[in-house]
Amino acid sequence: MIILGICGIYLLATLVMGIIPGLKVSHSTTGYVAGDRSMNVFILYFVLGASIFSSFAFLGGPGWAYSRGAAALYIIAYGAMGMVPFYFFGPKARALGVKYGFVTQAELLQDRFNSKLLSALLAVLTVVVLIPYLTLQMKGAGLVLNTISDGIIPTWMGAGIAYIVVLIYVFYSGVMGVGWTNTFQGIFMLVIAWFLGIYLPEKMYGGIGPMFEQLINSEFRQALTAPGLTSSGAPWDWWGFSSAVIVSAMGFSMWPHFFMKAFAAKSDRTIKLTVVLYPTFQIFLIPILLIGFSAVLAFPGVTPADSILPHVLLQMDLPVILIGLVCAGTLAASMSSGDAIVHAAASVGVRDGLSKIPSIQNWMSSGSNERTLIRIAVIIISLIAYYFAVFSETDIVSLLLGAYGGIAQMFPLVFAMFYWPRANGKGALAGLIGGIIVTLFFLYNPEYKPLPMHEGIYGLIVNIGLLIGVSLVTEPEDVERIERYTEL
Amino acid sequence: MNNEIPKGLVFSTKSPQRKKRALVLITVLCILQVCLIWPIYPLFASPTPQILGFPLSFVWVILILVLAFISVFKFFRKDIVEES
Repeated sequence: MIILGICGIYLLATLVMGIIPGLKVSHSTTGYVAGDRSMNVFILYFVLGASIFSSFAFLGGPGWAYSRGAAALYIIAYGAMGMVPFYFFGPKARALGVKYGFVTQAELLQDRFNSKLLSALLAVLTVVVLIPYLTLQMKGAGLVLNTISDGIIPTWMGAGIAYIVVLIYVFYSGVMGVGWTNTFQGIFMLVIAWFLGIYLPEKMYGGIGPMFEQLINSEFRQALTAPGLTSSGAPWDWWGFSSAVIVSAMGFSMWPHFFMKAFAAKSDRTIKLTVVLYPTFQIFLIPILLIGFSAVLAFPGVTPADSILPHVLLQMDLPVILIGLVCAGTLAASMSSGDAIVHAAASVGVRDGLSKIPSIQNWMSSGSNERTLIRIAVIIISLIAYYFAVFSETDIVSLLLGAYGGIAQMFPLVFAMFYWPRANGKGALAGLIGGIIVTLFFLYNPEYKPLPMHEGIYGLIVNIGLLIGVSLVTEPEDVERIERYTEL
Repeated sequence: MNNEIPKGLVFSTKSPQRKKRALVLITVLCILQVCLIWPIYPLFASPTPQILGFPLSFVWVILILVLAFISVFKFFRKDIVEES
């Protein structure tokens, strides 16, 4: 009951934190989607950090370290450079947003490449990749509340309770609700992760050094040798590791719920400083991995590996208050990603998808109808994800794996948008469609891969080839249009 | 119209110094990224020796992360000076 009480207090505090900012922003679409472009460094840092570090980091990170050893370092390896493109793309996107009223990345790409079809395609891609992502966050929240209540709270109810809170503050406050709650949740997660990452090795082995010494002298030595193991327990090859790092680094800043925050930033300096400080959030992954490593010798054979954190908590006879705080931290990880995802998916779905239908476009142009429609989309998308999380048997993890390869396909387009004036709409469309098709083909038919690389690499090769080839053999866009994006 | 649009990549021309610094930064970051994949990372893939208690394979990744942070931080500081 104490544990549930702590989680209840946490949920209530999050709700209050999420609703208050809604009182301050304007009732316009810019207010709802981009927070009137007023996010400072402090909030942007936590929004970007907490949005990326989701249930995957809190549950999956220790799970990877526990079952795959050094393979878990891949998460840090791609994050080291993954944020850097945003240092250059972010301020350019923000400036164009201020000048022309853009609030999503698809709006930028549509304008630069003069293609409504591209915008609609990106809207579909965004919603399709974000729903499985949201579904996993909901499953994580349901699992936590189900585990700590000893099954009294069923998974469907656990996911429902956590995401009703998310729904209320995202519906009411939009991106600023996401911002303030992520700041609160981010600080909470950092404290909990560092505490556990130091406390568990100390309690079980007498410190981090002795823990690794015992691991190195055990059968786990092979797993600690980079690049670690695959999910089946066989050694991971360098092709797979290296290509996964490259694809993930390229896709990192392309996630729509991430990129869109450029439009919410207060200034260029806000974006740049956030990028500079971001590795400090990456360091947060170290204690997360230490949690997983600490369980290897103490709790062998736990399956699924993702349940290792709750398993350790329940087996170690820890104070109930501590277990309650850790569970609330895991809920924070789930909700801080889920809120940003549902907000981004609804905003992009309406602004870049539905708004291209003429009759809806006319209706949206009057009063606050657009904001209302985005709010309705927030509810619909949450319900779809909830359905997949609770009732559907669809393999969400494989959908999400495909999503990473798909998101990376946006990178060549965004790069060309700012730095290659000769790129045009036909090339961008051909590149994006070709890249996604090839990525999906190799995802579902890995036996045809010429080399055992991440399928996203093959997609990127085709994407870049088509973008360059088709652009060069077709007419460029108007000079006036290109000059908005590139200094000729 | 075709003649007015360059066929190659075009980076900012407002500040040649910044352009140069950006190219240096990107080169450094690309090298650092290669340090985290094949063929450099395999040289530091072993768990031994332990450094400050951590396996070498772990410390190497953290070291590169810190170097990337320093590189971007230095670039940012120059940016700020130039802006002001």
